[in-house]
Amino acid sequence: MLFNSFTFLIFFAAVMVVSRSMKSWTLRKSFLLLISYLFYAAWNPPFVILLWISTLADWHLARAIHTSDSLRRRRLYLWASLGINLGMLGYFKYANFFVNNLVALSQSLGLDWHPATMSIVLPVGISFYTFQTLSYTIDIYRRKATPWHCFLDYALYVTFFPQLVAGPIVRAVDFLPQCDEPKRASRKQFQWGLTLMIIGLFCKTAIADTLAPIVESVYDFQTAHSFVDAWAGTLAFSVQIFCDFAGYSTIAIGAALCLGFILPDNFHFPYAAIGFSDFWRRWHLSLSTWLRDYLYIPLGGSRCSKLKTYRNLALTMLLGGLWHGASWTFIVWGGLHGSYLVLEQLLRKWFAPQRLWASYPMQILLCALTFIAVCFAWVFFRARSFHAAGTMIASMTGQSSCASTLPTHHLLQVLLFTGVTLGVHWYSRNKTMEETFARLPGWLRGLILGAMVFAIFAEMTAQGAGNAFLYFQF
Amino acid sequence: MPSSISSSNHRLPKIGYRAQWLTGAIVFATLTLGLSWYYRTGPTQAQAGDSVYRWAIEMDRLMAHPAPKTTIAMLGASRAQLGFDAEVFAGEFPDRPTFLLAMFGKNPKATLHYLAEENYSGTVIVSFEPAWINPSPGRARRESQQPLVDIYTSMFGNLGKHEKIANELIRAKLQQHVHAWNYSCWKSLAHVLKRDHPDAFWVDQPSRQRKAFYDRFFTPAQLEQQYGRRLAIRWVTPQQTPLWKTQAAKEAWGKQVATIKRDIDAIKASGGQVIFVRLPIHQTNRPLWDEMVRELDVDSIHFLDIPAAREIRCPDGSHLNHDGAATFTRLLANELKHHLRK
Repeated sequence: MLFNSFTFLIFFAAVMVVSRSMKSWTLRKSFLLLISYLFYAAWNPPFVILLWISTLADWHLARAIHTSDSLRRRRLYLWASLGINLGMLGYFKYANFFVNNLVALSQSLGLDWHPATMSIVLPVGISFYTFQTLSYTIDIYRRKATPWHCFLDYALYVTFFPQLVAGPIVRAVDFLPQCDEPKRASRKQFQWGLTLMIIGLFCKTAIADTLAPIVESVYDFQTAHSFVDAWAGTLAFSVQIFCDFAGYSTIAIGAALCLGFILPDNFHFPYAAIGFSDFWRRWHLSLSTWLRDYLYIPLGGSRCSKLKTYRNLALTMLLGGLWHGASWTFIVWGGLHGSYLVLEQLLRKWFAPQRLWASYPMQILLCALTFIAVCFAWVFFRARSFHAAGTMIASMTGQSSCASTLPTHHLLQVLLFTGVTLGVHWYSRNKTMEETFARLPGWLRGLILGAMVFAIFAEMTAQGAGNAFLYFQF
Repeated sequence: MPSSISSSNHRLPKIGYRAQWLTGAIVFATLTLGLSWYYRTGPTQAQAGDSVYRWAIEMDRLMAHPAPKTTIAMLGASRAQLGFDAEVFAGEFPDRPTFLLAMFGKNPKATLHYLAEENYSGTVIVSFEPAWINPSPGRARRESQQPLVDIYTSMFGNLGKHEKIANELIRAKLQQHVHAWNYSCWKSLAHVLKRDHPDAFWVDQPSRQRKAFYDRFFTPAQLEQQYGRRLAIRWVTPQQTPLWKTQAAKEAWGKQVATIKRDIDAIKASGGQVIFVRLPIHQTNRPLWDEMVRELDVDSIHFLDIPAAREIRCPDGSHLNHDGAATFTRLLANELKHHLRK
């Protein structure tokens, strides 16, 4: 069920009314669990079974890890958890990619092998809930947490509908304690939650979906583009993917808050980042912190030789790229970010002490350079093939003599949305969204929100079934 | 234990919400009611606007039909959506469920290809134009129905279909009763008419047909005066000899024709039938059409071959209005009776 659909709005209103009318906390949690399964089943009912497998397996394996004294057995249970979760993820998300690459390899070796193609549907949100349940068992294996005492709470943690299909990736330690005490959203929580939902929906419907056709008109055709069109398409995609994904996260956080639950932040004005480590402290925080805690640090993190640190960075980012999709272009996207991070570390060593870099104009310049480099990486993220990405990069670097085909109003839309997004990010880079919002007088907030609701309503009535969020595919 | 929740999540902005919600409600109500008033006092009519999702629902109904052999899929672009009267057609062929899969500004090659891939065994009537065979890259980009097919297959396949259909029904009701009056209806038609005249409009029908109303606001004399230059071109075939300017253009055309022919042959092999139709337009390259249908080896009907169709006027030079659509559909149905498989 899409957040930007009328069916969800009716569904959510009904959930709010029913859950607030329930006095028993256990009954409320059971109700939330039930409607979370319903929310997921609205897309494809049989895939709820995968959720059950993941929930039951990790619940029991985590308990077994905790109660076992033998290191060998603990490891065995951990591997079982990894095997089940990554096995499901691997089959549904990477099986075709693996087979296709194997076929290409065998053909390059002269073997004529043509396996039957597998028609596999990727279950929505599998990458997100797999990482959630994995973090639970790994934390218990590391003895950094103890198994939770209530299965209902744990099942709700895995399935909670606001963050089920596209995050934020919530840690058990953040969510489960919230299930312990009976609670209801306070009036302030409910109102701020509603405000966040409006902002998120606006980002998705009024900005991301408006830019989507422009991005498609540039990226879905693998021909060369003019310099202006190529940059317009890439800038539009940079804004689209931010507004799409941050929009989803903001709606999820707001919806959870309306129900009395607090979810982690997922974005912090990323296009105002100065440098790439700063970018990853602002972009998809729940994934980057997950990769940091469960991959980068176990690999050795930065507490080893320089060379190994660089290797760890590159490996983490490559796997981060692969997490986004079963395609070499995603791996290259991750690899590019890995190399950006390594390069930044090297440059920091040489240039950091110089005062010049701390000046305001230089900060803006560095921010702009970071944004441009991020845009180049987005090309691989969005392009459907290396050929398309290569053509796009060539066009963006002025190696194409094509004339511009994008209509003027599309170019103006890209300029407007990119300018506003970058401006807002820069202005708010050292503030939280709450601080930024609290600075505005009530009437101005009302003016902005009223106009946003109108834009959402107008877009949703014009648009129909709603465009799916980009991160559903990951 | 590692935690990803920052302390900021626990902070709520220290603000009062009364002024915010009050102002927000006033702004929203003013904008919505203002727009409602603007549209309702204008000449537009409340309707459920056409969309890619309505196209996808129509395609879904076609693909799920229990007797596919009896079905008729009408493909095309704006000329078909404005010029094909689904109600009249259904009256002529009550036992042949018809699905209008035409879409404004989008040529139907991708849809034809999809039906061929799905081994469709019904009848496909394609409102086609020779210019679509080998369009310029820019036109090929803008005017493909592939995005519609993609939305149908990715979002309207079996997954989440019912939820999306429910959403579409709610949206249609809201359009008709609250935010109805599709803003783009007069704007787009004004574009077709090459003049910003808000009085010309169309009304989207449940069948996805668009009934165009020009004459309600223009008398034929005014239309002649307004579009005289274009209307003066009556069923003209431009002199273009030879059909292709260069050998390369001919080869490129040949390649594209072969691709379309494969799809036509695939539908025929599945037990289906394909009929290409040329709907009325004031300027038509007849020799190119004849060459195209010869190379495609496809059953075809050209409006110039129906004497009465020559008398129907396209108010803008290239699209029928609602009256013309009803008249032409009756004529087409009569002609089709000789072509349709029993």
